[in-house]
Amino acid sequence: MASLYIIIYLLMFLLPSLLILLRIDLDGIFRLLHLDFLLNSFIFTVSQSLWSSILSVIIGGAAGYILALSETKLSSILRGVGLASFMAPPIVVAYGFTLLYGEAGLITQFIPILSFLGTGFSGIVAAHVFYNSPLAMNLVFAGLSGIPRDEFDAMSIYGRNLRYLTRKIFIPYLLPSAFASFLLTFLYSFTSLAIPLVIGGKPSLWTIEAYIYWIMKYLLDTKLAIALTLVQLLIMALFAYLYLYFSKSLISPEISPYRIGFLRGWQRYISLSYLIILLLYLVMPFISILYSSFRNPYTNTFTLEGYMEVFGGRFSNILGTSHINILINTFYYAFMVTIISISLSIVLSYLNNMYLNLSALLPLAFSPVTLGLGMYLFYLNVPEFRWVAIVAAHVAASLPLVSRSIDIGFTRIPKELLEASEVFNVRGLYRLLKVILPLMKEPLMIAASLALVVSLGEFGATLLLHNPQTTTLSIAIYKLRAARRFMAASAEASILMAITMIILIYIARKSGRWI
Amino acid sequence: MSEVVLREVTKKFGDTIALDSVSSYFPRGKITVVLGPSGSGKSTLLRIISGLENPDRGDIIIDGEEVEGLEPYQRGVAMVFQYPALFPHLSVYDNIAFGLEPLKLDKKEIDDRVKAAAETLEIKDLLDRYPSMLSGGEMQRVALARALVVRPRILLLDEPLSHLDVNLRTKLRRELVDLQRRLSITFIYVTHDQDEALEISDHLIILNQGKVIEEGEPLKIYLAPNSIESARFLSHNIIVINDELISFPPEAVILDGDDEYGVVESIYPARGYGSIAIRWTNNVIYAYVPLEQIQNLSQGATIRFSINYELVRKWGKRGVGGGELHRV
Repeated sequence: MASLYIIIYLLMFLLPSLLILLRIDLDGIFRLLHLDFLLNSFIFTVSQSLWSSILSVIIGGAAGYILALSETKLSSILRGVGLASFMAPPIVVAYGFTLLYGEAGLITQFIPILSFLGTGFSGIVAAHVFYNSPLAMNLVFAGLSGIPRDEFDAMSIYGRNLRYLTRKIFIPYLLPSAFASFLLTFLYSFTSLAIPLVIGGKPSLWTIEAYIYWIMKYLLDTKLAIALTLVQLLIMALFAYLYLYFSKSLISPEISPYRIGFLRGWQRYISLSYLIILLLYLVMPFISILYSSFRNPYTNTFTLEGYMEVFGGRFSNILGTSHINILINTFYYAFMVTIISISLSIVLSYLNNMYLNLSALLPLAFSPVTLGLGMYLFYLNVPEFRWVAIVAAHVAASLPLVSRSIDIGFTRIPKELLEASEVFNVRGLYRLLKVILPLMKEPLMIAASLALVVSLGEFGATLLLHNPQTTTLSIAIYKLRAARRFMAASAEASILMAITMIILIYIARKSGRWI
Repeated sequence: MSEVVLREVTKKFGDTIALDSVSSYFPRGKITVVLGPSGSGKSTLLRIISGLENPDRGDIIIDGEEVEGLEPYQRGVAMVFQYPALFPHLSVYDNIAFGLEPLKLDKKEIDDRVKAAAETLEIKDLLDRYPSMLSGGEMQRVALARALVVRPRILLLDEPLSHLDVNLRTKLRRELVDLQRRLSITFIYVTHDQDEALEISDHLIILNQGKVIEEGEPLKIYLAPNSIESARFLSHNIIVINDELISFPPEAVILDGDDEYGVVESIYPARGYGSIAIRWTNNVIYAYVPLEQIQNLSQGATIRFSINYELVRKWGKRGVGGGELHRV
């Protein structure tokens, strides 16, 4: 089984990634050093990542702190919406922000002062905060929720006031979670593509990731793209290492359901108001997309025009293919990705080898465009393999998440049951099929859902690799928006959003403890 | 020193009744033990006295004052939990001082109190260590010190020794009694361990399914319980003779006597004393036997014994007929 895993892993991730390193050329590196835009892009990428990370930690962390210390019905709603925001397809989020806060946006036409949320540097940071504040919220919430019930009680008995407890207990407890969410947000923002392309627009507001994409796709300068990828990879590897190092202490598998009303009186009212504002901030981009898919911006009427245009194939000339084909591609890739990444993850959990487990996390250090670049170099010499390249990139992107989910499920199978099956001489594949997999039904379903969501929403690698015949929903939204076909773009985004939401609701209902 | 009175206290969690109209008295400066099986509501009772939970109905009165709505610290209580609940990132010193800093005492006062408590509990050498460096017994001593430094009127102890090994449990149990005698603080101690309850309590409350089934002097309750539930929980022999339900403690079976005959079914040696199961009439009863005597017994042997009828409790006829207690 190990050899099967290794072969698929080599084809789906390692060989394409190694090919990037093998194709490093000094010419590309020298030329890179003489490019003015690189330094500007580097400064921009780092500064927007820093701002996004700091603000996400403050905004999301505060929400996590409130949720952990108070009993509120908002808790499950906010955590559910947070999951939806964090897992939402990036193109949907970027598009939702422009619809809300962009020029003549749904909100900015009434409150123009909020246009900073939908344009320029601040718009990019705001969208990253939208994406990542739920991450900080959940990590901080989990960090504080891991405090045993007796310790909570001891705080109530001896602690007296919230300020004292916050300084003495809560901050030391939440600091590791906050720092981990800072590192993760930095990683995500650093490699952001859809948001700078859609919200930033002009090259001065492009991340390094966006430049790699542009150099590869439009300048066809592989050497330069690889050199830039190398720079990005080094920075990402550093942050990924820091994250993995610091997140070791974060694993908090069981979240205590115990809460004590530490927030009372005016503190409670202010906290709840804050949570409601955050909830609105997280929900509004989704609502705006749905609303825009039914509203004709020119006639200001409500209509099904957008959906009819999409299904009627009116924009086949823009997209280069039919809507049905786009849907088939999207689901076919998602289905393949789910089967492959689940199979790989089951084998990994079963083998329980430290090095193989680490191998599944390695794609974390690779941005979507870098994955796409590797697949491009490895597969696209044979044009018929384009769809394989896309599937492989999606598998690599989903593997860290899926394998972690399955591994958690695997480790939670009571040891006694496995020992009992050994006592009765039930071993090997038979044990896997008869004992382990039936016990892992729920984590398997969650892992499958995660693989589906990642593949359905994947943007960076697909944007680089696709041609008209292999277009997915994410790419269609991007192209229709660029062609200013807003109703059709909104309709496509609504379809993608609806599918993703159904899966995410399933994940949220089955509890997030497998993620 | 304070006394606590509970009046008709009821607490529900969803459909489950944790406490059902509990009225009890916890005397001043004594150790009151709340004894009950798991799920009987004893921890809920403690949490309600501490203010960690609010009752759905009923009054909690400390020193004649109704304390409903008061925060735990306003009630003058401290609590020691089943697990020590020490904060892992704070040193032993800081853990003990945890409840003192919010009192806005000056540093010297805090230092004096921490050191005095550490001295009392013999943990002076551990003050610079962190909880991860302590043994289970040391951690529980630190938790006790943290409770004592705030000078509580009432100390609540929620099965504080239950996860320690037997030797340490016995040692700490005795130290706790000595400590209470020295400080004269009102202790309310929750346990499911009958031996522990009988050994340390001045006042015993037996709780079952959220109801107080017996309350009073521990030895009196043990030897002459007022209800069949108490007798069952205290591991008394409960048998039916002539359709009448009777109970008596194992101590009521006197092996030196010669009134009755029985057959030894099983022998259970233990430290200090053993116990044996005797088939008598159609019942199996248990008796305590000193270790030196247990060696002379063998399974299946006929044994002569008496029953101290002063310790036998009758709980009424079962079915029709019945009559006097049958003597073989």
